[in-house]
Amino acid sequence: MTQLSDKLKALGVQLGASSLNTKPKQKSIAVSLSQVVSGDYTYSDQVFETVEVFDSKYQHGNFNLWLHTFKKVKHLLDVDFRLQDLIFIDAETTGLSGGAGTFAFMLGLGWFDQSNAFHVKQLFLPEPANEYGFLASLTDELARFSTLVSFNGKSFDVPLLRNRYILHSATSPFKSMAHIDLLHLARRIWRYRLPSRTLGELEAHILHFPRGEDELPGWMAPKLYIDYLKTGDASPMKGMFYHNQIDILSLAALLCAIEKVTLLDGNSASEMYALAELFESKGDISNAKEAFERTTSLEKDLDFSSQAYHRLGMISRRAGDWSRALSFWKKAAISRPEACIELAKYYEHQARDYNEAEHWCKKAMSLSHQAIASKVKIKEVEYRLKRVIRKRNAGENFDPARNNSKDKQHDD
Amino acid sequence: MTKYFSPKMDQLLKMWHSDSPIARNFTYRSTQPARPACVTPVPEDLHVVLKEYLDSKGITALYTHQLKSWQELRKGKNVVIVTGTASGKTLCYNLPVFHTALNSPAATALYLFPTKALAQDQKKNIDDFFTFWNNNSNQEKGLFSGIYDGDTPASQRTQIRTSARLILTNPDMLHLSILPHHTLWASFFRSLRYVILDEMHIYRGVFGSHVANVIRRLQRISHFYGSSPQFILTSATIANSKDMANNLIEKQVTVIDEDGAPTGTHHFMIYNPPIVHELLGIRAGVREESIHLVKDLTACEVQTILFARSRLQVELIVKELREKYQKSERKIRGYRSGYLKTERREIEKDLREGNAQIVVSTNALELGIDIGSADAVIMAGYPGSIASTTQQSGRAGRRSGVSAAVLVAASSPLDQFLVAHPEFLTESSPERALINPNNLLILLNHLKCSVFELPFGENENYGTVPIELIHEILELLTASNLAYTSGKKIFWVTDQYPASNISLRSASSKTIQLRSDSGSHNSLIGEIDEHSAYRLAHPGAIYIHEGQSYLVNDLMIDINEAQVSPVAIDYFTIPQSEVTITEIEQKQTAPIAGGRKYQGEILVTSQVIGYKKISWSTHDILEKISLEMPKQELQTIAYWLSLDAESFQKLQDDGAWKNTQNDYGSNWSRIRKLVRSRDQFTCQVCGCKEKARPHHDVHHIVPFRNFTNPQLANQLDNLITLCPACHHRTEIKVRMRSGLSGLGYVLHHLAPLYLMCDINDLGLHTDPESPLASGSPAIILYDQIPDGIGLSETIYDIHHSLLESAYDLVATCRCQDGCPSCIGPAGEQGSGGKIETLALIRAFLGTWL
Repeated sequence: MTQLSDKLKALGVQLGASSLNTKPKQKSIAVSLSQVVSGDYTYSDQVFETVEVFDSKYQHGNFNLWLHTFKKVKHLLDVDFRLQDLIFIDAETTGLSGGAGTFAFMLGLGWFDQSNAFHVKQLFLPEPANEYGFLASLTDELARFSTLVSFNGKSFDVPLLRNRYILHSATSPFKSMAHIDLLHLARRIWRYRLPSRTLGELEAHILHFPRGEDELPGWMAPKLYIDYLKTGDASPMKGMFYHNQIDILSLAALLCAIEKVTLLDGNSASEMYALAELFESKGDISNAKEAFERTTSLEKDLDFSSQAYHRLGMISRRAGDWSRALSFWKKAAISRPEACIELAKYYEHQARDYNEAEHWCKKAMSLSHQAIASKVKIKEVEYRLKRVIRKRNAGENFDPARNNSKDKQHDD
Repeated sequence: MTKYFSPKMDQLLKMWHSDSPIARNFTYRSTQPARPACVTPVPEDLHVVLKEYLDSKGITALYTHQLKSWQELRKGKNVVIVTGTASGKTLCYNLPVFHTALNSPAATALYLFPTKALAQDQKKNIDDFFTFWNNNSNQEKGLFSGIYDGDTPASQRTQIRTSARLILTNPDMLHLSILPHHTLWASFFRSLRYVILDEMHIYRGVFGSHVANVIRRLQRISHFYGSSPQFILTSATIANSKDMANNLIEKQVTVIDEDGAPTGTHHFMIYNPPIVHELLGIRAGVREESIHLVKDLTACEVQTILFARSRLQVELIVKELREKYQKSERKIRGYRSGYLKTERREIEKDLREGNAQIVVSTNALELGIDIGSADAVIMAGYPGSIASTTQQSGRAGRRSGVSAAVLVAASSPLDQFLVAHPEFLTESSPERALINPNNLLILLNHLKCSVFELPFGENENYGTVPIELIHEILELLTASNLAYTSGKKIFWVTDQYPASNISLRSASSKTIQLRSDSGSHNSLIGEIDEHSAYRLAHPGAIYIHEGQSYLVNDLMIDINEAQVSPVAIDYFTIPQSEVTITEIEQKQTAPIAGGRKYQGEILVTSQVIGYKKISWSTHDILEKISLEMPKQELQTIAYWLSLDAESFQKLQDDGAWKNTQNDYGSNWSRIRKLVRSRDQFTCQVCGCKEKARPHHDVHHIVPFRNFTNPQLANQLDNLITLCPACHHRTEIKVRMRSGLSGLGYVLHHLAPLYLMCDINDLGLHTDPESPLASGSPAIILYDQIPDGIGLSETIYDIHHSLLESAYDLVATCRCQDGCPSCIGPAGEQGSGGKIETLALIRAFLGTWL
């Protein structure tokens, strides 16, 4: 081998980040898994397993994990489930790049029992060759549940695990399960509140859960695992077990946090507004209306309340209630150019009050220079303004009935 | 297919045969008579819908080679089809694939093309049949094919992966995306029945050595899913199609080379541009002469494809043609990669329908894109391989009518050799496509990918690689923490996607990007590997890319970049290197006439120590500049030959080194005296004093005949006093050096004719006292790719033919004492030396004594 590695060196090859003279395995004196975490070998010693139960009084950051109905969450997700149907899942893997050469070496699973205690079970792969047993034990664990809950599991954990089942010519257990990926929901709910919505950020700013000193960041997982395999020293795995367990607990707490937001009480304006948008996009107008209205009452944030007024105006207009729509838009017009445009449209096409229409066009133009996140295009407003002025100057000779349809077409 | 045949072709041929000034430059003419088709009925066992489909296309019989491949494939054989351009190779593979697709409802096939454009072109044929089937069958699930390459939108990929029965892709995509994600393709691989490798001869050298490994990985994955696909390969004519196919797929292959397709009368001619500078042996330019020929072609309204050697040449020629002949833009078109897809389709259509009269193209039109046919083809310079020449020439006149192809020769030794030996182009080709799938660097990279794709069993084989070597490499991967052994299997355990760091187009993973900072934007000109960067992109070097000269401002190896800027100057640069070669292991040796030949592993240590600026117009050295670049090491495979002491002595004794006395000029006796007195009438080598008679000699350090101007040759610092004995020895050394360097030059330039490689793929070193041959004079040719790709081993085998060709080339060259077309331009240290070169070759051929 020395000869080959010398030759490769001469050919200009640098292999891996680590040097070629790694220490030989020293499993005899190394720290074993059971010395690091309390657990047992199961599945004919193929898998190492730990279980910890958190009773119903357990507090994860600001959240207690039980006594939830998840009524509105179910509504938002179009999934029906009982609390005991959910299995929370998170995998630690040998890489993030995907493909057939990446595998999971640790799986965290979490569920509620009948007395609302939360169980966290962790499956660990002590040797890559045991993967078949590892996957079989996962299949067994999942059998009791109908719905997966993950953070980004739809694009990462589940496809990765599905590949592993294919590699062992085994049937994947995921086909028959529903899957709630909290990443998408969390991203939308906190889109205005947090610039970054990774699980770590959510944990710090929403759950207010500080991780302990055992924590090792997830990106170190591949390197720590190979170190463990090479040396047999399980001590660095302690941090991985901790990291993965907290991920599962945070996942459960995050679902509670989402539920809490859906209950509307105590939300910040940005949460309330984001939630209202979410309801609206799901076609749930009554919940959307309520959340928008609550946003307007959170006086602290002028911008969100104006935007909410604008959205309420749109909802009223669609319901054919012009007078409410006008009053909402006029409230929104303090800061939202979009609302001014809607008012201008109303006065141009419905009331045919061109002076009023001109006023709102001009207001829209002056606001659109200052407003944040406005989608109003100045060019279009200018065009509208010109047309309004032309129509006004045309006076009595102008036959609104004839041109009405054309203009409306343009606006819609 | 609309046939656009010009009755004026006869007029053109007559014109080029007459005794007009231009006719003299046609040094070779051959006519391949029309050949009728050899046909056979459509086979009985073909699926009935396929028969109907063929009927609907007016195909009532097959060419014999199409039937043969059908029969061989039905027997379960792998085949390689080596028939002419436009002989219906597509049907050879489509028939069995379609038949199987209809009979086995899940069967899939993988089509591999070397370019994306070819995949696009071939999909048309496939979809034509699939549409026919889907319209005529009441099957619920229609047949559907998909192109899966870098341009495939992400939104379509899942559907293509899961439901396309035929996938069209390229080896790069297979390597980078499909194999590493094979679990997403599980159902495709489970039913994989055929793999098609079109234009196999393209997969040679480094690229081919990679592709052979991608095929190994493909077979490994197929095996995992329980399938064992048959391979169908197609190739241009090469000398070793069976071996090449064998090396690529590592399975037994049946060659099908009896071409049953008809051809029209085809004239093939070589045009050698006239010499415009007798002394330097310079000929009129290829571009000008080709443009000149186009005049006759347009006058006779003959539809023509003009093949140019680079994209820039295409543009220049199109521009000049339009200016010169004032034709509408639609009549004269350019065609190359970089043009928009729609534009290309339009040009192809115009060619088919006869609307475009002249299409100037790179080799982009050489491969199987369906363009119908032109009446004539002009190749502006030898396209670089015989296979390319045949394919480009075959673009003129497909199945009927009269057509003509003209090769316009450049002044390179290879072009000029072909002028003298056109039989290399028209009779059996000596070209071998060479690969070395076991090149250690390439093998190592693909073993990484393999381990990533599937854990590697302890006793698992990988292609034909010796199991011990596999074990050694796998051990290395585990020792460097990339892989881990568990339960008798080796697992990939690193957060790396190995395929993404491996390009099928280069051997070393480190490449240097040449970036031009012209004006506001910083554009990428090209890429070279690190090893070549020191020679080609040192600071001050002129790097030529597509005809544009770039001055290298800075070479920044640490960030893998060279900064260049476009310049308009009339010189080029030649790096000066100090090269030492040490032998690592001699693998083969055999006595030959005059000495020995060898083959083995060597270490080339080179250091660029400066460079010369050479004038384009006069080839004079304008300036010499010193540099100190870092030392480079290349461990590779070499071929060398050495002259033994007796032959050396014999050549001397027989006066082989003698040539005519030079006329040193009228004031020579005065200069001679001056130098002797400057050197105090003492030999500057042995120190002996001059006695009364005979006088000591005065020696030209740089040989006199290397100068065109006697005054420059006779400058005092080029002259030195030597006693007659020392002078004789020195002269012999110079002569030896001249002979070696001349022979090296010609071997280096001719070898690509046999090896189907680029001249830059081979390194050359000559040494009058080589340690590789116990101090004897030696010429060393080596693979420029670390660990070699099979070039040097092959030179060892074909050594005799190569020497014979070298002798022919030099002996028949009309120059006086060396020119760029034979043994190279006269250099400063013993180049020039036609007599010495010829004597050496004769010694090695055994014809001297």
